[in-house]
Amino acid sequence: MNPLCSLQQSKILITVASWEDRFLLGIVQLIEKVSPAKILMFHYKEYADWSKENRDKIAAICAEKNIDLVNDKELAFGSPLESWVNLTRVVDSVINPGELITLDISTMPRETIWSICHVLAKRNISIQYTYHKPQSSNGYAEWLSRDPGKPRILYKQAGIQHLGRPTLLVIQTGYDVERAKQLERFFEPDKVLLGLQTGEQFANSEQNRQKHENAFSSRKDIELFDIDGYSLEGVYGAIADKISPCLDDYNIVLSSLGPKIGALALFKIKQAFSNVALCYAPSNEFNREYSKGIGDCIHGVIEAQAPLEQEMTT
Amino acid sequence: MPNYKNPFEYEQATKLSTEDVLKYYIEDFNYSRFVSSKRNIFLVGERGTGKTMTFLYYSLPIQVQRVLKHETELDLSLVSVYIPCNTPLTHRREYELLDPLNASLASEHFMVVSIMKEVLDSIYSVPGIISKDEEEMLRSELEYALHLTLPSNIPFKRALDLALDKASVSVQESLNSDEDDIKKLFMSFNSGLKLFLVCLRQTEKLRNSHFSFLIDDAQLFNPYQKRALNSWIAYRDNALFSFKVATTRVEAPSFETSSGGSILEGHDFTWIEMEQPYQNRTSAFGKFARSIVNSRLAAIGVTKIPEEFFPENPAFTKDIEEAKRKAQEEAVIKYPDGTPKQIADYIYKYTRAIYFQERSPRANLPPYSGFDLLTHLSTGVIRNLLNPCYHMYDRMLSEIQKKPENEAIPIDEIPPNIQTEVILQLSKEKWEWIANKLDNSIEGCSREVAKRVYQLMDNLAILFKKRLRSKISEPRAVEFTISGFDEKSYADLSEVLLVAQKAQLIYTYWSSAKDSGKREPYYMPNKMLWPERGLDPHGQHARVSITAHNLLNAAVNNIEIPFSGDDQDEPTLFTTAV
Repeated sequence: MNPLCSLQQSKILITVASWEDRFLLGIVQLIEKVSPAKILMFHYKEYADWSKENRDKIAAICAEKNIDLVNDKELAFGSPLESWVNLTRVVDSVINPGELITLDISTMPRETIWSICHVLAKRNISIQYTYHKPQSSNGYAEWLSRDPGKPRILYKQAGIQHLGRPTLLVIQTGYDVERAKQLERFFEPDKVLLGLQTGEQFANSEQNRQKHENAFSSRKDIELFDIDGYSLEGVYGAIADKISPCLDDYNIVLSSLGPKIGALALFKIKQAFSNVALCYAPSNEFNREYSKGIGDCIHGVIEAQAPLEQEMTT
Repeated sequence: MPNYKNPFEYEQATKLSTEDVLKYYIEDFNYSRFVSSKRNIFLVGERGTGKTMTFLYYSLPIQVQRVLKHETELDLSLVSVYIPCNTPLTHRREYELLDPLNASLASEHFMVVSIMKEVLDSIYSVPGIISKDEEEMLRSELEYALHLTLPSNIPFKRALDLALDKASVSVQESLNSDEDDIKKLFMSFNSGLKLFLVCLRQTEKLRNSHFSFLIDDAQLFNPYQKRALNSWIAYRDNALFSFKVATTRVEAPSFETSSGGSILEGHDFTWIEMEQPYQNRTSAFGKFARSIVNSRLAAIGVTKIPEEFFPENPAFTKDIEEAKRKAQEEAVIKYPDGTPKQIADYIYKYTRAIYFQERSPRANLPPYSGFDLLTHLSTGVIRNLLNPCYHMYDRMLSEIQKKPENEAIPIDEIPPNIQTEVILQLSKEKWEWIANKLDNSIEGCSREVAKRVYQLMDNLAILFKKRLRSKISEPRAVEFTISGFDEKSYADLSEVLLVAQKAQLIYTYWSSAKDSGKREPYYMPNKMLWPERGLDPHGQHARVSITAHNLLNAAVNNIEIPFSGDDQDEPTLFTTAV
């Protein structure tokens, strides 16, 4: 049985190049299943050397398969303004009304995911998202990122903030407790909702949940709740339930540090609720050995201006 | 079981109830008079130095509650309005996408409507401040002056609330869409806030009011907003309004105005440092710390003074007495015809040094305890003072919870052994944090810089330990100045020092150099680092001058800072006027 048989074909595939195995292996699978005529492959300037080998391999594959590859578009973590301008201009220029876009978010920074989604949503484009997990055994290294940058609310995605309201910070947490603490220090919110990842994958209980529980459970102003960051619908439902009673009383900031499917869900929440802002917590250093191999692929479609469809894990 | 509440909880001040602000704030502190003045002030200090608490206490809504509680009369000649800057609205970044004119107008607009909203809420915290007739007059005046629509079927305060929010929302909507040229009504300081204040002064009770804006976390404003604020400060005519601006030191705003000019310290504003370099019991901070702990103890019904609640280890007290006796003997030998001052100075300098010198190298770490020591450990920062107190009290609560209910007793002191355990644990955790988590916690701190910070602090500890154990003139100095800065060393060392400052591992102060009289910075490492290294957090009023070259070598190459062990060729050292 073909594990990716339910993926739809689409003419355009958008991705961000990485040095990780799952990037190269994932794109190879997607080329096979989605049959894109064009691949828009961004890469980040700060990690251009690390991603070069994989980019060259993709270029060779595209040349062989006669796929139009746009691979000269560089983004930079250190230049969010330039990156935003380049990214939105390039994405805007390649999309056509009514055409399904495939977005491989496996190795895409959340800021890039949200910026691309913003452009696509504005143009009423449906998104077929794909996310490749690392291999299930020892898939992640001990540390993922270091040297946090200043958190930043995304351009055009700050929602509508009302005067005089306190701040509610909602974080889909990941393995790094310090980054959650940094966000809390940065916004000094009146209240914090921390979504803790469920499940036993990748030593989640000890390395993620317990650490967050130890750090935050005694705080009266912080509420912990369960979340399945690998399910778009699950994250959407859990967070929407939590923030709905707060919409008239708080200005709400959402941030994602966990699985990237959750970042897509936060984007959908931002679309659904007007007074919600998206915040990116950058890191200036990543672990080159961060992930190994390739595991399951989670994919689904976010229809333009339509309710969420159920995603599939294959 | 008695209801135990940890009185040393140190939540961010904005989360405290009005009652707790009134209960915990210590009014007669040396900068309070500036905040209640009509001058423009910059309050500068890192997190935890009490900026927000000070602002909140003086804000009108809290003052209203204070006079109600004490049944005194509210003085409306000074209306202080607290303006929080750490809001998602301030964190918007679309100004970067706009042309400078639109960016400037939109940025100032958000500041102005936010401040107007806070003014409105503040004055309405005073019961009956504006009569119904005056509200109707204001409704007409504000509609006309500010181009607002205030429907007559909506109560005045609510109508103005909605109108201000609408003015903010409409510009946000433009920013969220792709309008390059925003066709919305922008409010500036002159066209919005100033007119609003002038209108408010038409009312009976606010006729002679001066509005003091307490701008908290101004470092978070965007560059256009910082320049706008400076332009407002540059007005100099302080009859109607003034600004008190709280900011962190490491991200303190520049003094540039929107027109490209500058505001000047002394002429346009007064600069107040919130961190306190001296922590001895007679210093301003020492007295302040006592008052704070007194108020916290009073809140749980403890009548003991801080020194009784946090008693010093009796063995330590005895050993210090013995060291003092030895210092006195040495002083008499050194100064056979010495004046009383010479003898007293010698005893001051060497008593604690003798205690630390005479401890066996194999002995356990000293029994750190006592309120005086806690004050020194704070390094002049209130949050650093309350943190160990909180953990000590918490430890006591844990001990009590283990006992049967009928044996639970009120906590009326923290035994010295608990104090020592907590202090050593917190000190150890601080070193571990530098070693393992700095680059995960501090913005702009790479792994390499984190390593350098650790190595710098480690080598400073080694130097100070060697000095403490040596027969030199200033053995307890735990502060330093930097000499021999050149262009090459400046960039590398500045990067390390900046991260150390952001992490509150080093505090920076300015004073006059003894030789030239020029103002120069000096650096005080966070004294909570010292117990783990067996150092004396008391320090003394002296600074070690270390060359930039040696500091860089310590930070980058992990090379110990040179110290030969005598006064001849050790780094230049001098004492400061206290």
